[in-house]
Amino acid sequence: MAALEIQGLTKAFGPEPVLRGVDLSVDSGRLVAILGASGSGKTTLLRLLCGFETADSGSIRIGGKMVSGPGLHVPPERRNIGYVAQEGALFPHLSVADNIVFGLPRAQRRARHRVAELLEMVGLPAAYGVRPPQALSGGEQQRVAVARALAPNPAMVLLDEPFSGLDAALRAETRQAVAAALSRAGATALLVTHDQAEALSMGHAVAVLRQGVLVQVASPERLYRHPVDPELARFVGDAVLLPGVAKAGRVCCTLGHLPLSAGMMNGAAPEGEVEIMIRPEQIRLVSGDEGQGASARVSTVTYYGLNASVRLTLSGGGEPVALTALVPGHQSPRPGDTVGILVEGDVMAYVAKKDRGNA
Amino acid sequence: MTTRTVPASLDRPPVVIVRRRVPPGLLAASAVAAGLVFLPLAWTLLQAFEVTLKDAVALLFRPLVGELLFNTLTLIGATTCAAAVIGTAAAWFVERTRLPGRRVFAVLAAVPLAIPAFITSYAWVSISAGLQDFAGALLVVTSAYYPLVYLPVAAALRGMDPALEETARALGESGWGCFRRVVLPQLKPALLGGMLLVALNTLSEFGAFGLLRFRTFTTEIYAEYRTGFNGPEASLLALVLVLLCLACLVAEVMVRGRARYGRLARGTRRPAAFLDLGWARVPVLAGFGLLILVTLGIPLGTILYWLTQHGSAAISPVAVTAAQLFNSTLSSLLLGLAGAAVTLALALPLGFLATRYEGRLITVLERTAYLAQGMPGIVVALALVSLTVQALRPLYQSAALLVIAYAILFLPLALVSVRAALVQAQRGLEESARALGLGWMAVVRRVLLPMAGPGLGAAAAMVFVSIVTELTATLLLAPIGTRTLAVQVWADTSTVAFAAAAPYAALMAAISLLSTWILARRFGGGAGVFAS
Repeated sequence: MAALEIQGLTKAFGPEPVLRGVDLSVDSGRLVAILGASGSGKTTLLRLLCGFETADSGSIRIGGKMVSGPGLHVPPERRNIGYVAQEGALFPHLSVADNIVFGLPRAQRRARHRVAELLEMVGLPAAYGVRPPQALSGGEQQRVAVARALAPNPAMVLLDEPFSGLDAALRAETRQAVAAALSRAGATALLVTHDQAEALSMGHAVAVLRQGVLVQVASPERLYRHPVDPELARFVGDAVLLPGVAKAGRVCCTLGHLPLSAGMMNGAAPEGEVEIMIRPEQIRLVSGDEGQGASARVSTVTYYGLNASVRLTLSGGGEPVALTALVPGHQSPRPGDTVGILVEGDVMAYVAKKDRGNA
Repeated sequence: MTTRTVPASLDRPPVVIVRRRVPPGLLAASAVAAGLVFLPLAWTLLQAFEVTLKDAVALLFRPLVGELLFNTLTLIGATTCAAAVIGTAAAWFVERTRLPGRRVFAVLAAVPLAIPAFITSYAWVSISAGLQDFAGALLVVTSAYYPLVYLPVAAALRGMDPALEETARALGESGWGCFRRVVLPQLKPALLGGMLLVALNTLSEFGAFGLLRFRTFTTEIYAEYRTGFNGPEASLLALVLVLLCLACLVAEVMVRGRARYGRLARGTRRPAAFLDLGWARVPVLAGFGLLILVTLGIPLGTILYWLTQHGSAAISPVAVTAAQLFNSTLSSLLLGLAGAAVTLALALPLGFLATRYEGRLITVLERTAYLAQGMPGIVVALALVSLTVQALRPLYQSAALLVIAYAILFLPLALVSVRAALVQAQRGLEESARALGLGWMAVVRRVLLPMAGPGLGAAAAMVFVSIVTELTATLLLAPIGTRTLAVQVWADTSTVAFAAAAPYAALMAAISLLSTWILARRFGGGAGVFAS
C-alpha cells in the first residue's frame, strides 16, 4: 500500500511557480530521498506535505487519508506525521525525555512512555533522558529529534535536510543511526536533501526535483548509472561528457568504440550523433600500449589520498579534448606523463539536444 | 601575562582569555565612577545607622509604613500583571499574525516609554480629579511602562526558531497548546525580566504618584524631606525602598542569567509563519485602537487641548511668558548636555576596562555601577542633599551637584551602550593597528573612535533624553532660580494651573519623542534605547 500519494501538486509564491505538478508515490516502510539544488522546490514540497503551507492544486494522501486536495487543507497537527527540522529544533526548555514524549497524550507523557526504547532505537543510552538538549552534540540532538518524531507512531516521517548542520565526521555516523532507526521502526520516510551522496546512500529510492518538477525517480544505482539527461548526470555525480556516434549498441568517440548501456531508455538505443556520458572512475589509466587506442597527457593531478582526480588532455588528431579521471590514490600519475586510456563498463548516450524531446 | 582556558560546551572550540595587566590610570578612573554610584547608598546606610535600634523599630513598624508597603506592593502586583498581559498580547499579535497595520502598531506600542510617566499623569489629573489614588496610579503606570514587557517579548518572539512551533504542530498540538507548551516557556526570561523592570520603575516612580496623590515610599520620603527634613527618618524609609528595588534588580539579573535557554540551532532561520486572524481581526484591532488611545491619544491630546486654552481657563490661572519658557528650555537643555558629557566621561573608562580586561575587581566595579539601576532618583537626591548639607556645604544647591546626581542615575544606561559600542570595535582590530605601526593615540583616533563613535553618541543621546525628562532629582537639587521644563510642569500642576503647565509639558514631550525617534532610526529601535 502506498503510504504517501502525491498527485499533480502545484504551489506558487506570488508569480513565481515553485512546484509545477509533482506526482510521487511512496510505498509503506520505504525511505525516499528528495534530491534537489537550492531553489528546486524541495523544501516547499516538504512543507506542503507537513501542512505548513497550503497547496495551490493537486492532492496529498498520507496513510490513505486525504490531507490536501481541492478545498481541503488538514492542519499539521491532524496529519499524523513526524517532522524532523533542519537542526532538530529540540525544545530547549524540556529535557531529552520530555522532548521525546511531547507528542503523546498526557498520561503517557507522565509515564515517560517508551523513552528508553526510543533512545535505544536511535543509538543513544537511556541515561540521556534526563539531560537538557544543550548538553548534546549536534548529531545527538538530531537523533533525539528523530526519536521524538517516531514516538507517536506517525503514518510517515518527514525529514528536512536533517544532517546539513553537522560536521562531516558526525554526518556519516548520524545518517547511519537515523537510517537504522527508521528501518527498525518500519517507518515510511521522506528525506529532503541537496547532498547527492546523502540521497544515494540513504534512500531506497531517490527522486530528483528540478525547477519544481520531478525529473527522475529511481533506485540510487539506477539514478547514478542511468540518469535521464546529461544535466542530471552532472548533478548526481562527476561526469565526463564527450560527443560520439552511436550505431547498433556501440558508440564511437575519441576514446574508441565503447559498449552502450543496455538498460537505457526502454531498450530503444539511440542511433547517430549523441553525447556520451562516462563516470570519471570508469576511466583507467594504463601504460601506453595497453589502451583502446587513445592516449593522453596528464596536465594536473589533485591528490586526495584515497584517490586522485587527474586532468587529462587527449593527444589524438583534431582539437585537444580535456577530461577528468578518478584513479586510486596509489596509482596516481605525475603531471606530464603520457598514459593510455581504458574505459571500464558501458556508457550512457544522449541524443543531441535539439531532438531529445521524446527521451 | 597568563593564559587560561575556559571549559566550553561540547561542539565549540575552547575560549582562551588573555589576562593582561590593567593600566593604573584606567583602573583609578573606573573606581571613581563606581565609587560615585556607591556614595549615595553608603550615605543612606550611614544615616540609617544613626538611629538607635529602638527608634528604628518604632519608625519601621508603624501603620504608615504598613500602608505604604500595602499601597506599593498591591500597585506593583497589579501593574506587572497588567503590563505582562498587555505587553505579551501586543507582541504576539504584532510578531505572529497578519494583523493589518502591524508595523505601525509595532512602533506605537513602544512610544509610551518616550513620554515621562508624570506627563501622562499630568494629563489624566487635568481631565478628572476623580482619577486619583489606586485606579489612577494603575492606569498611568501601566500605560507608561507596559512597553518594558512588550519590547523584550517581541524581540524574543522574533528571535525564536519557527521550527519549534512547526515541530510542536506536527506532533499534534493545536494553536493554543502550541503557545502554552512551547512559545510561553521560551518567552519566560524576557517576560519575567520585563515584569521585574516594570516593578522596579514603579518602585522608583515619584512624579506620577505625587500628582495623583497616591502615597508610596517615594512620595512619603519627599513629604518628610519637605516638612521637617528629618534625615534619619527619611533615610530609614529610603532604605526600605532601596532594599525592595535591589531585590527586583537581583531577581532580574538572575532571571536573565539562569534562563538563557539560547537557541540550539546555529544555522540561518526562515522568518516565522504569520497567522491569519480571520474575523478575530476586528476585536484585536479595536483592542489596539483602545490601547493607543489610552496610552498616547489621551495624554498627548490633553496637552494639546490645554495648549489652546488661555491660562485663565484653568482652575488657577497663571500666565506663561515667552521669557520663562525660553529660560526653562535653556536650563533643561544645558543640564542635559552637561549631564550627558559627564556621564559618558565616567562610563568610558569603566566600559573600556570591562570589555578589554578581566578580573574580579573589574567585575565588582562594573556591578557597582549597575547598582544605580536599583537606586530611585529620590534616594540618590536625598542622600546628596544631606551629604552636602552636612559635609560639603559649597556644593549644596549647585548645578555641579545636580549634574553629578544625573551621572549617578544614568551611568548604567550609558554603560550598556558604551559597552556594546566598545565590544563592536574588537580588540583584534586595535592589535592589528598596533602591528601596523600606530601608537595608542593614533589607534584611538583612527580605529576606536570611527568604530565605536556612533554607539558612544547614542549613549550620550539617551542620557540627554533621560535628563531632560527627569523630575525627582531636579526637583530636590536644582539651584534656586533654576526651573527646568520638568520642574515647571510639576509646580504648575501642583497648583492646578493646568493650562500654564501645557507649554512646558508639550516641549518636553516633543524633545523626548523627537530624540527617541532619531535614535531609533539611526540605531534600530531596540529595548536598549528605552531601558532606564
